[in-house]
Amino acid sequence: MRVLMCNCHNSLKLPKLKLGPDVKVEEFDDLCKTKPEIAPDEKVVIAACSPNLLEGLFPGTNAEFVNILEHVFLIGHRPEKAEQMINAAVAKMEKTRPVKTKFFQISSRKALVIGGGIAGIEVTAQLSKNGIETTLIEKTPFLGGTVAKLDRLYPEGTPYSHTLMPLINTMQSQKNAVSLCNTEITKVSGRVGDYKIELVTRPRGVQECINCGKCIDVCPVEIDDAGKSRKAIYYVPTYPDMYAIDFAACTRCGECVKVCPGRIDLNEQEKVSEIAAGAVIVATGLLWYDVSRVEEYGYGRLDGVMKTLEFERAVAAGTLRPKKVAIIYCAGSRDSKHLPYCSKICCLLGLKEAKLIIDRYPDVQVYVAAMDMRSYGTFEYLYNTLREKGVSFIKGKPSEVFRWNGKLAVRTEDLFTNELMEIEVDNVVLSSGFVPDVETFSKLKINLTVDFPVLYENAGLSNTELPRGIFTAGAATFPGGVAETLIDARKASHSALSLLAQKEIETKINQAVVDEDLCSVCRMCIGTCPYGAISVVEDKIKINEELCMGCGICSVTCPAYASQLEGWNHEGLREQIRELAQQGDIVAILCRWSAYNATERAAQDKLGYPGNVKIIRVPCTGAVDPSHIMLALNNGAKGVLIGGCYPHACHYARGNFRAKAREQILKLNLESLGMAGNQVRLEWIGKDEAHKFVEIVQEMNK
Amino acid sequence: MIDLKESDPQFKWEIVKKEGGEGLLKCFGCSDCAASCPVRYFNENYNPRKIIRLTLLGLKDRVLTSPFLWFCAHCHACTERCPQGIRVAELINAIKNYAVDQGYCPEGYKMQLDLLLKMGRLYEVEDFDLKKRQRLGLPAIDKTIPDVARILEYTGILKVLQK
Repeated sequence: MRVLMCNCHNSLKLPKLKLGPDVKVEEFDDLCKTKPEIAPDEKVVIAACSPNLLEGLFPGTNAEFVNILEHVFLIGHRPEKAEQMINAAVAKMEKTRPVKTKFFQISSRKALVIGGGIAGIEVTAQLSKNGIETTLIEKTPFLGGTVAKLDRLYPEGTPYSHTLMPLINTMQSQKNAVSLCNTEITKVSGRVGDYKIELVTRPRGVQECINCGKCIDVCPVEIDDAGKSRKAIYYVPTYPDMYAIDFAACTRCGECVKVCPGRIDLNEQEKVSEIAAGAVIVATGLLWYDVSRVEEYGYGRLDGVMKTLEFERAVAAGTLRPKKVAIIYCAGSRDSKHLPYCSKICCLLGLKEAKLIIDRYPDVQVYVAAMDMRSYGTFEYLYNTLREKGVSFIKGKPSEVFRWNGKLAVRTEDLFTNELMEIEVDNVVLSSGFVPDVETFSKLKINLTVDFPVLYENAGLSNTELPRGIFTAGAATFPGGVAETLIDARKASHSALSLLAQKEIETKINQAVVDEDLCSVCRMCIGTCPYGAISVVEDKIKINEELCMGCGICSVTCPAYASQLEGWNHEGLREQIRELAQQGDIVAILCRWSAYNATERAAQDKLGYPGNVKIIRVPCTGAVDPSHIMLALNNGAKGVLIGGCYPHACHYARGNFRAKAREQILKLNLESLGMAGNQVRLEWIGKDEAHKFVEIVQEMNK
Repeated sequence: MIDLKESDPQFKWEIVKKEGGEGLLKCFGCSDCAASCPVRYFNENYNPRKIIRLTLLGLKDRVLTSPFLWFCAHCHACTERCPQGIRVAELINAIKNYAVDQGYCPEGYKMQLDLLLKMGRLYEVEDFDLKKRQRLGLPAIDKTIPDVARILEYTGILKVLQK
């Protein structure tokens, strides 16, 4: 083991260390400029300045950082403290397990895109342009997704074909792009760079087609497709350029086979295939919330109550000619019983429908009942335009839609006049929200702990910290307009490109490792992992290296201490505390993301605190074991401070909540042992809250 | 005009502490409760949203002295529909309880309590009623039920109202 010390241009008086024979001590004038070579499997203690700086200078090393500059010299503590800190770090490193470097081979330089809407088409086009063999799969018989069902796009009302057709043509002109319609994923196995995906292709029925349309004339089955009626054999003018049979509705009467000049096979079978891919892009698009569950608005129960998409399609097809229309916003959104979040685009969809009907029939009276109008950004112009076109905006959430004397009516309160209001209309349009595609995500083994993966960023969906090889694009990330979807698709395709451009990925995150001899497979760790990285494989606890972010919460939960964090295992931490904690000390165990930075800030701001405050750096407060605290108190420490991020601001999602629960139990135990519970304090200290840190340690020192 | 100099910033926290008042701070003023309220339908002056709003603003005197506070029929239509999951009827109840604690109780409620204490009933049984029952072949009933007074005493309501 080596100890590298820096005297910061001869400004620090470094202590003379008395260490064992197998520890080599080196002193540098400026460690940051010299940058000595450190072998990847070598253990070192670096005694210099801030670890935040040094981690960047010595990436991927097994180093324990001792901040002698900011924790000793800059605040005027005695140099003996520095010596003690270095000794403690050496003791810790001797017992510490080195961080293993993980390699992920990118063996398949191919990509799979799930979902053939605008996001999926754009991702496929971008990837295949850059030489990646890309397969696009689409569940329905035609590409285009939601956009192909719309009449026009907000805010200007451009027809969808202006956007969709150039995208499809660009994609089709790439020789690396393959698109498979009527296809779904069934099973996914493998890891980043090497996924094996099983696909099932459902029958299309139509095999050779000249687009004559004779089959439509003879087909006896007529069904409603989101507001527009169509036959069981149908065509959407996107891609592929041939008809398809909707086998869910088809009665297999065989009329179409008789008139078809091409070839129709009603007995076509499902085809199962398997493909390999290095990256998977989820672009499954918008999924409407089942608005019939909002019972008071009567969707599915009352005639004339429809969704935005159905209304748009019916008006565009000319089958609907109302005189009065009410558009109800937030139907099931921002509601704890339905969707607790705001889906962002439904306000704009509602405005678009109002504009659509007024543009087509200027005499229509439109009422918009919204508790809040969220026409964010430049979409405010659309809202302004519609007020000028004579739309009545009512502030207030309608309580119910009902039928009275054969007429539909909406009951609401108008918050502007503070009076009750009943509006008689011909049609009620419900602007409802969107839900995440849980089915696809669960097939890809992604547990959505929050509603949409947009908030899931640091849990491994992006390849910033850990490569997962799964990206989301467009509305699968979060509902968005066409422009936002395309921007998101480009971002996802470039992330996938930068992943597939590498031969192998190397990461050196300190992850949890399970000792199989100690583990009794009690499964307590599975529930505590914020990332769902722990699972049982063949009756053994296995930690997924693609998902573990190294918070250390499981290492404290484990009753047998079988799960341990690389670089921060309990034995090492105990040695460090044993060396560091002395009679009358205050041991501060601080989170590396927030409270530890506050101590550095205290030195930079020249805020002094007593020299008996000994600081230990941990990845998360969730990794602090009660035995560490007891050990410090046993050694005669006056108090133990655990400092972490504020609630909900934890870098690892919920480590600080675990710490809070453990602290409360520990306090009760201490009190039952006759000790003062207030010796142990858990405090939320932000990155720059040096004042708070200093106040707390001074208070504890009294 | 609302003069916020009169507002008591602690008022909302005191209501939150009461049983049933927990959801108060979740209110974002969508007015679904006011639009669902059947009492509101007959009396435009009654408005649960307004009561919640005044409570949030801390206008204690205005809320507690308001006669409309006592109009709530506890049909729970608002509780069913509140998008924030506030149990509105119970919240109104919590404010009522707070009002009684502070000594604000409408005379009507006190009169009803007196009747219950005296007779165990809210209406008086007269000889006429008994005769009518006899004619219909129904058994006679007691003019007073003293047990009700004992139950009322046991609930502690007398202590609260005498304060």
